[in-house]
Amino acid sequence: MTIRSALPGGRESSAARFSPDRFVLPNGLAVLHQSNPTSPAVSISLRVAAGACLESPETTGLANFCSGMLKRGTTRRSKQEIGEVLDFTGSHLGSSAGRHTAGVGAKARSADFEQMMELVAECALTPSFPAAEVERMRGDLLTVIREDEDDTRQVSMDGLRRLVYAPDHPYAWRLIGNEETVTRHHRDDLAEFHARHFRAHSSVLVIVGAVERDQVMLASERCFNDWPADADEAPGQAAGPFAALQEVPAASPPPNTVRDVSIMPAKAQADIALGHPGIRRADADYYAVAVMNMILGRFAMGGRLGHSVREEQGMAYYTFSTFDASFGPGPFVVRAGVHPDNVDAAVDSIKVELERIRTAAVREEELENATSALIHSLPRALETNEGLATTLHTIEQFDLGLDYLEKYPRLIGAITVDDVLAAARNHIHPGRLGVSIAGPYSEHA
Amino acid sequence: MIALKSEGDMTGATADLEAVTLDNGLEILVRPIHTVPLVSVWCWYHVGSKDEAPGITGASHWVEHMNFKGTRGISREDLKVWIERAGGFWNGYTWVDQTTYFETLAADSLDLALHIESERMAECLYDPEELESERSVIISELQGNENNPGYLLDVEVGAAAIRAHPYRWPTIGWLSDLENMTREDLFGHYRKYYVPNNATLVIVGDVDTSATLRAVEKRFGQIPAGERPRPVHTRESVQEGERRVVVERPGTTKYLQVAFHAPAFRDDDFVPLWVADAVLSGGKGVNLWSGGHGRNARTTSPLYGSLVEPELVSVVSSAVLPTEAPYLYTISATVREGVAEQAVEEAVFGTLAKMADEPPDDRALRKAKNQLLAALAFDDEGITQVAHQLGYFNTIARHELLAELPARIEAVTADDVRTVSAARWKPSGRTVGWFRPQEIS
Repeated sequence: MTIRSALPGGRESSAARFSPDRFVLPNGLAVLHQSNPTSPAVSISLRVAAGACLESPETTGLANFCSGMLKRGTTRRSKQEIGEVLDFTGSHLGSSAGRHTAGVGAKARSADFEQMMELVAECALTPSFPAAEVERMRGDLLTVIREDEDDTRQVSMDGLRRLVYAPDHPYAWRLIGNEETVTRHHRDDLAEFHARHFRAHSSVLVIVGAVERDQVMLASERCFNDWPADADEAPGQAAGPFAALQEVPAASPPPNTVRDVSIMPAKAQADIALGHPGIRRADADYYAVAVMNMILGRFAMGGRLGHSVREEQGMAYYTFSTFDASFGPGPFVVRAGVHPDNVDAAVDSIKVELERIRTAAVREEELENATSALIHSLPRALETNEGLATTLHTIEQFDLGLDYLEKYPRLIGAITVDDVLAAARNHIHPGRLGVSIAGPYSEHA
Repeated sequence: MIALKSEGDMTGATADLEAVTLDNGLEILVRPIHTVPLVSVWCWYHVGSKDEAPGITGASHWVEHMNFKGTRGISREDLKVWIERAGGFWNGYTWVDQTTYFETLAADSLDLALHIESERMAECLYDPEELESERSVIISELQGNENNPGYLLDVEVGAAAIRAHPYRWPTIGWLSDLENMTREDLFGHYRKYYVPNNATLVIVGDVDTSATLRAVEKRFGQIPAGERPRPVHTRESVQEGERRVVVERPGTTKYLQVAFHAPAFRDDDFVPLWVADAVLSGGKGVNLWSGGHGRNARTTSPLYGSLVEPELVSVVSSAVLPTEAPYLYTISATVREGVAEQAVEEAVFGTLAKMADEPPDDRALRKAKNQLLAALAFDDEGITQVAHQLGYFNTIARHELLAELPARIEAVTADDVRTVSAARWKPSGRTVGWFRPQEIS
């Protein structure tokens, strides 16, 4: 089939219905808005360049701890008073940190929009880090850390990060930190991290739902104008809100394949995470890699991996592969859940598929299936308010342009069989893998 | 084709909804929503673990797996390839009352989804080799579940609280049944329940209603009606005294789960109990698919105040789920290290006793209702969710009841909340389960 240059679908393309506004406040805060009248609800999402990659190996978990505290008390309201607003309106407000950004997000009925904007701004700008709440959250975090140590999927993925990134690389450590660092973080460390990284010029506010442009502009100005601009940073500077994140260091696959086994005898199933550092979002090969990975580990339940390891050999309950292409070279990972007796055979089969995709060209039909799936699935990202908000953040973070959704089918449609082969050769290294296994496994060799 | 009703002027959950029943008994619900060029097609069967018996527990879920393995007209590979080429997202699930399959895909591929669902209803192959390979896949799914202490505790509590009704076993089934079921067992289960007069087809999205109905008639009209399956007649007898279970397995964390007997969705007590639950821990929607269940209690709720605030537990949640027959009301907690079991139990039971003694004040009741109304609004955001809700409620009751929920929430009084709390949270009707982690050697 031929790839249409316009988006597929009904009477008008989704690109036509997707028509976001963007404006920048005098302090440098970028605001994006998309109207969605389907339901009387609205999503508000503020993201700040304040994620875990700004930590060091000695301060892991600081970004997560800091952002988790934002909704637990501000200079104006206690945690209970914040809870009272949320609970009375039936709204949700969450604050969390990822590898790169941290933020505050809220979901409310559109009638409560103004009130929720105030609360999002208050939590992001003026958290008070009450000492008692810091201790309570520390307890919660330590419980989660211990629970995760009993979770084979989590343990296998953590093991892979340690295997393939140097200890001081910001992709090596866990977002939540570890028992030692989380026990050590002092209230003042959290406040200092917040003061240093929560800045208007390194933030993006996205609003999606049954609210109008004028409402959004007024509320944004009213709630966020007090966020001071940095004296030394010109608003809307060329480097963009996420300049600090562009410096995530490079990482190469290990020289030889390395293994890590976490034996968890009480478990019934073993989880495997296998891979190595991948590519950045800005890599020129990004679209070729996306198509290649679709064929390798995504299309029709796990791509070639799913077909071979899960369907034909019946060895895994699930298997798939991902490239976490971001500001830095996030991991390329193949994951699988298998019976303990099948661990070695499953790893071998996965390696066979990795070798195959980089030595022989994919079939034309596989390429067409993959590109068609990538292009036609685009409107699904626009189905819900959260989906729309995530899409807008991605566009803003990686400077893709508000016409990105119109360009996307052309970018994907242009990928050839040769591009896929080159992408696999350049970005998949079957002899230089980290292989991390967690579960009731005993090494036979 | 017989048109049952056409509702042009309603708002909310049933705006523009067209409900039609084909001559063969297939119920069809169509709701056009034009915000994105997508359509979501769900085919619901009124069969779940309630329709099983010891020996074939897990049959409904295994049948669901087999129904992705190819039909007379569509090979296993083509089934996946065609949907994904159309940008589709597809899946299925099985629970106590229902089995469902869906595709959300580009609106101009509507007929592809109808083709697949009509084949799935009548033409699945049950190839013996596929069946054996799926046996190991499902057993490993079960083993994956058993890695999770919360799952183990849930199964143990469910089996202790429910003695007679088939809701007592887990949807995935017991291991020995999965090891021994035959092709005849599974194919027989499929043929018995996958008939048009035991199904609801829901279509929501960027479609034209009359063209959609014509397309449905063309794909499904020729499938013959079957014998209507016999409803489950087993009723659970009244529990007369507390039951206790303990799971001891290697682990790191202690968990509590308490279960009470809950009313069926159609029971007059369901909405009052749903509001009482919202007062107790915060309002949750009635959409299993969107999640939200298992979320920590809201910070100003009594359950949070008596358990999380004093640092007895890190997470506490509670839920009542809409089901066809009476199921369970559950409270689950992740206990902090070093906290005594008795302290946690006293806090939980003390909070429930207080709700049975005193009606909530006006603000607490208004708060609970606002939360439930907001949750219903959030469930209407995307076409996949809207379609799920219509099909879910039409399978366990009638889809019209979904649209009535906002008014029924508003009608609940403070005294209704107290009365239902006292009736449903009696100590003699509870089952208390503990997961006690054993040192990992």
